[in-house]
Amino acid sequence: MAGKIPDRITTSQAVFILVNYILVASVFTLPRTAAEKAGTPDIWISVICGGVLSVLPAFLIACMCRKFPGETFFQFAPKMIGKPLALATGTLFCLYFLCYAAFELRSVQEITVFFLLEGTPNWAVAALFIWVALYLCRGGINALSRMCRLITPLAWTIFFGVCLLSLKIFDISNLRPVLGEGLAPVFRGMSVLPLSYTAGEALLFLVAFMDKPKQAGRVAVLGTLITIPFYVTSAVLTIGAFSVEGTVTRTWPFIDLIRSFEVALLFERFESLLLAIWTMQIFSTFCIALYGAALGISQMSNLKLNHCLFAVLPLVYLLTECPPGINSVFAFGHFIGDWAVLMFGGLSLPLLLLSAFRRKKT
Amino acid sequence: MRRCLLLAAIAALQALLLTGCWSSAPIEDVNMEVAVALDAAEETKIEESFAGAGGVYPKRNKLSCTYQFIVPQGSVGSKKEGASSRSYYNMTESGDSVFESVRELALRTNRPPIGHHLKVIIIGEKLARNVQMSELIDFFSRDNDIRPSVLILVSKGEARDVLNNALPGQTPAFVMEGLFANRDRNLRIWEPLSIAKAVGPLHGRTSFLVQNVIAAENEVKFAGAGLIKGETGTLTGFLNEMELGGVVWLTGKGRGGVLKTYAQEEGGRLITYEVKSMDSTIEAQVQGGEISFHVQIESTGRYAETFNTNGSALKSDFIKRDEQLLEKQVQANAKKALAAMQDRLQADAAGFGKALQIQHPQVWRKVKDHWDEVFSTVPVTVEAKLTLEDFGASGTSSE
Repeated sequence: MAGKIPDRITTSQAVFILVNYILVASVFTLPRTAAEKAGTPDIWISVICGGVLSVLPAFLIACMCRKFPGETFFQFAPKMIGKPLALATGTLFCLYFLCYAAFELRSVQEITVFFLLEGTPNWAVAALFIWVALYLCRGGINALSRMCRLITPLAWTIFFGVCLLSLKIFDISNLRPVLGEGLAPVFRGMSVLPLSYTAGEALLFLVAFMDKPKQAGRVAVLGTLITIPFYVTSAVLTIGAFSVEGTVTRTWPFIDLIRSFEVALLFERFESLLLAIWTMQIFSTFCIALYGAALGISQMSNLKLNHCLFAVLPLVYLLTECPPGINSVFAFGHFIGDWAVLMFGGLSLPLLLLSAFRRKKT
Repeated sequence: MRRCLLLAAIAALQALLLTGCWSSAPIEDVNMEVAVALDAAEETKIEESFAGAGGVYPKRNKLSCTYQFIVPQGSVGSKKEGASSRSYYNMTESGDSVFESVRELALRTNRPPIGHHLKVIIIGEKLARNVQMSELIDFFSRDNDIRPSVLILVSKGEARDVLNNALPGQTPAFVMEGLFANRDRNLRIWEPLSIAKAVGPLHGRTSFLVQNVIAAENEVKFAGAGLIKGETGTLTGFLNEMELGGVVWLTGKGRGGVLKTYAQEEGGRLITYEVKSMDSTIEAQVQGGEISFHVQIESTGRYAETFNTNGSALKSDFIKRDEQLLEKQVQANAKKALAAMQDRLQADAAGFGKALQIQHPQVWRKVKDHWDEVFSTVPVTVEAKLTLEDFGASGTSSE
């Protein structure tokens, strides 16, 4: 099994997987982290700019992977940068995937135990998550893609539906003045966005499964752009309801936004609905990251993918339980965001140039 | 065979999961808090008796928390019948920590209080004047069960009195929550202030209004609003009903209600106008560093009552004259509210600062730290434009 690519996915399937991979728990905290940095209501501009900007590294990575159809980064890297370097970067990437998965799982844990299932122990939440993820990942990329397509319509409908309801407490004056302090706050607000928008790394292995690898660039651009409305909606509605000053006081601003209104519409309270669907959304990110890590390890070490999947489970759990408190969870997230910028933002261009260069030589 | 046994074993194990939710609590076993009243510390008779018998713990007596719990329907029923049975009961705990006081109740009742259905927090005048509101609502805005949609009110007097009053069969907490739905009927109700809406101004140190509720006999009434000053974060004073109505006109936040005036030249003829819609624009003007405001109020409505002494049909020029009289009344109301805010309370609770911030961000940055002070001296002009769209089913006076 190792080294072989078992399945194929179409371009649209790849887009869905990418979208599901990008949409993560940070939609809950983004308004606060961005508002803390920016200090003005203009963070929605930061969110749009950040999203558009993050297309670039993703596109570069897609271009690089396109040159080696049917092979993941872990397979073609040795040809490009030599074995030792490939092993080093590959390990770093795998570690990143593991940390990313662990961070998402920890976020779910924090949120569910605090808001949804008070009294349920942390390990119970994590165990369920991890075992189901293992089961899904054993099904390979097609199982992942099918789940992503299953979640997408549900998640989008509920997300935007709940957002529409929150217009009840929306006040446009909280979003004004636009650019009252100039552009500086917009740039400051963008510094927290990498965690929300990192996309490129999934393409490192996703492109290998595509039946038309030539369209990898399209997947990168579309996938990233589709997620922008989610983060913008979250930022605009939260600031609109709480104002900037209020948003920075909320730990999970977007959840608090949904908790702040009651509508007599079948449910009256919608946070459990949103949390349930967003847990699934995070689950898909978790699975994709887990799969990426296991695939990387299996291809670098020539072990069976299934064995690697089992092997990474305890690792992920340990990483999940590492941060001792909520502040360290957020710091962990910030660290991952910076890591992503350095690794995928910084490395993508040199790698692409290298791949072009090597290509010509051979 | 072994496969079958394994499957059966798994199925049996899975049945364990069917027992239900991990941390479920049957609804009849919990005490649902629906309202909390916070007052300056004053122990109740029960508390004093408890203390006398040794039921005390170390605390500084700062505030008294009165929790209103719902009595589940059916559990009272048969014993006491009719009007004498109340669907709620109140428990008071004094101390310095809201959280400790609610947990202290766990020593007095076997059914744990839960906050999922908390509707209102009422803060007594004495406490609100001395303690910052952010401290008082801190626990409520931090808790995971209590929602940010909980409404905050102040009470001129003792807040716990408000929780003792309701018409038979009603619960004070729900009455107060429901009163806000009457904003389309009366202009003297301020927009509901939930925790979600309070954290912004409290953290940003801007002044804002909180609905005031008072109690008498066995009823409650919304009576004006309390003003929380941004600088201190405490209650500085009250606007009466009339002044609150003026602020509602200034901000255009009303949804419907009554405007009354008298035609002095016609022997004090009464005109009442039913507000169908209103809107206001606050225009901030800065000339040579001097800030001033112009408020443009617009409203449409209809005659609710008019005593036309001539008995003639309501002609256009007649309506025009009444419109002008009503416009003057709106201006007068708004001026009264402005006088109260600028002279008496010296704080801006009608969004003038926000208008300045939006329209002149540069100027705002210079004055925002002492905005309330600046506001109390700036000139404000008010212009009103009312349109009487119709006169109801009766075209003439019945005279």
